[in-house]
Amino acid sequence: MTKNPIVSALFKPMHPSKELDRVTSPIGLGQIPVSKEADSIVRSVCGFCSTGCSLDLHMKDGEAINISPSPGYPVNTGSACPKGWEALAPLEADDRATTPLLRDSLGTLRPVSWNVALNEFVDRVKKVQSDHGAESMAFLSTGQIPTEEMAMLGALTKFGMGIKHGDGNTRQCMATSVVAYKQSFGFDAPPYTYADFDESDVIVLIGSNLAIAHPIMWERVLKNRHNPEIVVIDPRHTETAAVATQHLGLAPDSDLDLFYGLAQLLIERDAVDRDFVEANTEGFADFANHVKRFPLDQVADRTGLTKDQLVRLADTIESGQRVSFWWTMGVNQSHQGVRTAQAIINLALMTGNIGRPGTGANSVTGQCNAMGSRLFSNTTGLLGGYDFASLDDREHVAKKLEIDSDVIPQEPSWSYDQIMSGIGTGEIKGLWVIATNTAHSWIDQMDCHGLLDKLDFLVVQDMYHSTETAVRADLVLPAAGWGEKEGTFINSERRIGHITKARTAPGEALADFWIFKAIADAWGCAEMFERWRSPEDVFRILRDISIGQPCDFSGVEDYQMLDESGGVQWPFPAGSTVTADSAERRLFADQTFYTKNGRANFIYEEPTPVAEPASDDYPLTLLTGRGSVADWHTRTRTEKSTVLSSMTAKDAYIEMHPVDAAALGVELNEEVVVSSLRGELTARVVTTTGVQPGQVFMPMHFAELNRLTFPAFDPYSRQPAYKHCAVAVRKT
Amino acid sequence: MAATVNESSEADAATPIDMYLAAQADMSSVDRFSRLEVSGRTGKWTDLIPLTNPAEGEQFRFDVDLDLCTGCKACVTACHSLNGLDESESFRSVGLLVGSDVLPKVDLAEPILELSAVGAKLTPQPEPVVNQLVTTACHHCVDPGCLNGCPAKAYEKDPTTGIVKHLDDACIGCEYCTMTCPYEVPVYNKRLGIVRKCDMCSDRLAEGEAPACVQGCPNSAISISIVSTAELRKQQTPTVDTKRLVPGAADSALTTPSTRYRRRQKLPEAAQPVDVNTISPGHGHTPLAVMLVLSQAAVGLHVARAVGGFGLADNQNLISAVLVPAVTAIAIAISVLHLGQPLKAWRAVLGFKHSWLSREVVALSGFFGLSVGSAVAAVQGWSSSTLIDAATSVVGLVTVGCSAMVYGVSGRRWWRPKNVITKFGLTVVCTGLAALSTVMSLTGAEFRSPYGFSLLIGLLIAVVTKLVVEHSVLRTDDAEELRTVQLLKTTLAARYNVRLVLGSVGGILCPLVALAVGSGPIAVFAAVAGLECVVAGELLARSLFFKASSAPTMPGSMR
Repeated sequence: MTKNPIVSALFKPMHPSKELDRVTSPIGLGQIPVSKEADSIVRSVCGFCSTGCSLDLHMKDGEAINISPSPGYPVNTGSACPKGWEALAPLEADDRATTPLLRDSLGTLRPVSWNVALNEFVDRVKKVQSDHGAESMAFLSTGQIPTEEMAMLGALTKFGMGIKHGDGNTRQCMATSVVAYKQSFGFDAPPYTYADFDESDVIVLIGSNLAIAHPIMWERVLKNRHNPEIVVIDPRHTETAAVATQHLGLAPDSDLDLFYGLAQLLIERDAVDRDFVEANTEGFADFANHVKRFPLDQVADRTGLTKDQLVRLADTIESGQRVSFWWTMGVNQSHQGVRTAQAIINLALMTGNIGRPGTGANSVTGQCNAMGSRLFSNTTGLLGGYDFASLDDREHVAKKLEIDSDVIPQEPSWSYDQIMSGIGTGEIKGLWVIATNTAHSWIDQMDCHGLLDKLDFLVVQDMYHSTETAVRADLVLPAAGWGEKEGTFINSERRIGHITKARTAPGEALADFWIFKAIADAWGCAEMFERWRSPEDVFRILRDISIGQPCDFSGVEDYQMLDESGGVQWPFPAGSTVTADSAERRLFADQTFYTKNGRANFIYEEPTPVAEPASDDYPLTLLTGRGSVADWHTRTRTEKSTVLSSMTAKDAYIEMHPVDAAALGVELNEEVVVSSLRGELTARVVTTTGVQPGQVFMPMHFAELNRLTFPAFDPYSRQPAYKHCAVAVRKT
Repeated sequence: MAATVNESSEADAATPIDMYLAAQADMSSVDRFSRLEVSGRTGKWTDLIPLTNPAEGEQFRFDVDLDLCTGCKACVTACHSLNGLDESESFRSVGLLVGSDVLPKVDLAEPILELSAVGAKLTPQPEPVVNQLVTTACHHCVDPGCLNGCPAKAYEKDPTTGIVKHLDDACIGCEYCTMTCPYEVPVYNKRLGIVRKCDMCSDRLAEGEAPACVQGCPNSAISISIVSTAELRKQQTPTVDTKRLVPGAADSALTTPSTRYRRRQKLPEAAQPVDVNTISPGHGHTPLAVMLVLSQAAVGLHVARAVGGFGLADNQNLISAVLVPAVTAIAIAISVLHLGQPLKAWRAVLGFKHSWLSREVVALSGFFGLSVGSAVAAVQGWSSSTLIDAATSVVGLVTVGCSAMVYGVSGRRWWRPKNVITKFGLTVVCTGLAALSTVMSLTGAEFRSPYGFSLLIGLLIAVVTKLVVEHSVLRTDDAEELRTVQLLKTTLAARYNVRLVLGSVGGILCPLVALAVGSGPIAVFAAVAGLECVVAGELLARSLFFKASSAPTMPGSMR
């Protein structure tokens, strides 16, 4: 074709209608565009959130060219959110890392060969370790890569490289639920299956904007045939609250008071399932004593709710036959998140709403493979849900892996925040960041950037060379993404799903698995991973390790079985068979928990005040959360899709109550400066009564947001409390 | 077997990394996991579409349950993916209405409110906040603006289904439908040189398959239903203002859109599009602006010559007569070249029966032909030249009238027919007189004559009137025009000021200088500079005519 602009302007396609021609797909996809005619499909679980939808990747000549959601898959039954539909677009971005990049003496990242990159990696990590001790090198990983890759990373670093400290971005999302479940149930075991959304007659959503954050779970709520009461407990009047039958817009971080007060109300009216509590729980009597100190008046006062609202909710829970409680980041990202999650668990236990269809105290996870990370990342817990501190566990795992148990550390890693503050104290000198974007997402960003700049050696392993973290790296390792590699994810309801390689990775990008293998070779510990030849080999090793654990999935034959059965929920011990009934399974139907005595624990504690309450100088409380269904976290992938980008705000905005906006003299869409003690940013105002007076809200996807956030952490889970800090807003 | 690195094959000298790169390149998993049949997809959404075609007097429509639209926007991506659209293209979009009134109690007896069969309780609580997502696509209007405007017969309203289809192969890429559709539905595709729009996936419907957006919605918020067109004309949808689909949208009386938006409760009056204050300038349509000003200048020059020819010397008359078709030819060339599909330009006359754009094309072509005749008559000194000149004048003025109606029928407040006719008419007078005075000065005429005086004073009055007319919008109290005012006072303020300066210099200063000196180089300079400034000012004004036009549209989202 000529490039002459006049000629090309004259000779446009004469029959452009052809471009929209469709054919009826012979393989059952309905009418599909001629330009995207597929010869087959492969199935893959989506790589964004933890819902775990299955996508049909339309294949043409061996490459995926289009996507539609899989019908018949138990999770999503033919639907997907826009991210799923657009999951191929991020693979085609111009800023994909296609070769390793090494920062040269002039400070520029330049392409180098893999061999140079691997040698540089090994030399510099070993130098950091020899200069400052083996523990001075740490890693930060992710909930976005398959379980097999996480296990490989955890084993390589901790057993092969002598690295002690490693954590994942799952600390920012799920750590609170993990700790809450471990302490209450004896294992990190979300008890539910999505069918519980269909079965409930009361659905209580706490700190969860399910309609936006998990649209496909929300689909199930809307299709519930039991005319359910939908209760939304959230300071904001969210898209989810808009459809609720009860919205309790409580004061931020007053959840503990609310749930203890509710427990007290239920006890007062004897709405307690005494038989269940007696037979299956520990500590109820002490708990009942504890909540006596949360009388109705006081709770109404502290939560800002009316007594009528509280009584109505107690009525609803009492009269509900199948009450399910669901929470997400509004609970997890709190300074007292673990106790709040446990307060919810306590409500489910005391009313016997667990182990039956439509019930449960249910944590809705964030990332696609958060649970794979929780069980197999070898960071906080020893590979397979074991305990680093237990000699028995270490020997058991060592035996399964055919390694020397002495290489296994005897205590868990530092958490994310401890690693970051370790950089500040000089205890951490090298950091390896895999598939996460610390420079964007970590709390108190100004401090975070200073810390990253302080490192002797920063390696970033990512699909893109352009992330806020990658541009600060000394070495960038190019990773293949979802769609370009194989492995498994475990979704919110414990379903192990398969992801299939259906696209050629660009340039020399490698699946994280192969990068870890290459590093093992270069490091000199390849023999330890001789059996880890492919992701599926690792899957078999992990399956073997899971035997006897609550998460036992030794009944899963291979990837083929996962692919054909629509995913398999753990537990699925050897000898289990896939049947129509096994597609949706919940835990604790036998009323036996994973604690030593088989009983669930009532755990509670006095509420503590927030770390940074609003003040005269910073009079507004800043809430954060998901802004749009088309944005995923730090946008590194979703911004690569033109369609997704067109659905979401490009520049930062802040939601503000009209009363506060009027007091400031600002109108809809006017630009303002938002500041906290730690930093400031500019954003446009969206006036809405969706936030309460005195509160403002900003979506977490804007890179500048974390300049403001306050580094408070839950003391048990070390999860950052993103949902609360004090800010001031002024006109520009 | 999936990609496995066989470390025993060390016979070849490949380094480990080569093996891993080979393992990465190995696509055998595709064969292992590929399926040759997907079951359960086709037919899955058939309960959301009608089983039969509409009867006489009925049509298909999009039926949107707003209570079920929670803003996931899967419909947008499903449309994009299942229709094979370009990278940024989708025929659906989702906007947001925000508002904060506490609602009055719902009157369930009100007939236009239909209770949705949602799982949730149907006892609505007072709504303290409105946070209403609105999914929107083509409204398949009963009286479609796109179709009525199209000069190339590139639209048809299916006589059976009522679906408004765009015929991509017939489209010439004039983009006029993007102005006559009040919902911004047709969108120009630069790569193809045509507009494209939603056809309700009519091929899918014909085979009993649901449209892509219907398939994409997890909550079944979008369905297709059948509606009586007479009913549509009578009654609009159950929102606050029954004359609009939703707050912020255009007056439904313009095109009678067929989409139904259902909601359990009325929207509060305070509900407004979240992007209501985000007004950005529209497309400048530079080729159109140039074509309009040049063609109007040609008409102006011709009429000025025809009416005022008695005061002209022969050479002045001849030059003017030849200039008119020359300028018109340039205008026509520009208008053809601006088309996305210039080779299909001939189609532009096909819509003569309904499209003012077709009429404009025909009239302008006629004017060109007659102006050639006028020029020949002038050169040859034919006795019939007066008659030809008169005919040319009439057709020229008809052309200007058609041009004005092209925009006048769009329904935009700032483009009211009276407003546009006045502006275009004044452009004719200003540019015509300026051109004529320049021709005069170049041939050595003296302005300090009754003829020259009346010419220049006429020019001055015309330009001042034009500037006053343009300025009058700033005093409007019309809500829609206030958006134009906001643009003129902010983003477009600099251009507007330049336009004022150009008009004042070309239409006031230069004529006065020419009058003062009468003849000679300064008078020539003043006349030429005056013409240049007047034409440049008109071009800028015409560009602002497009850029500052801010029509109501469906709710957008935060940008």
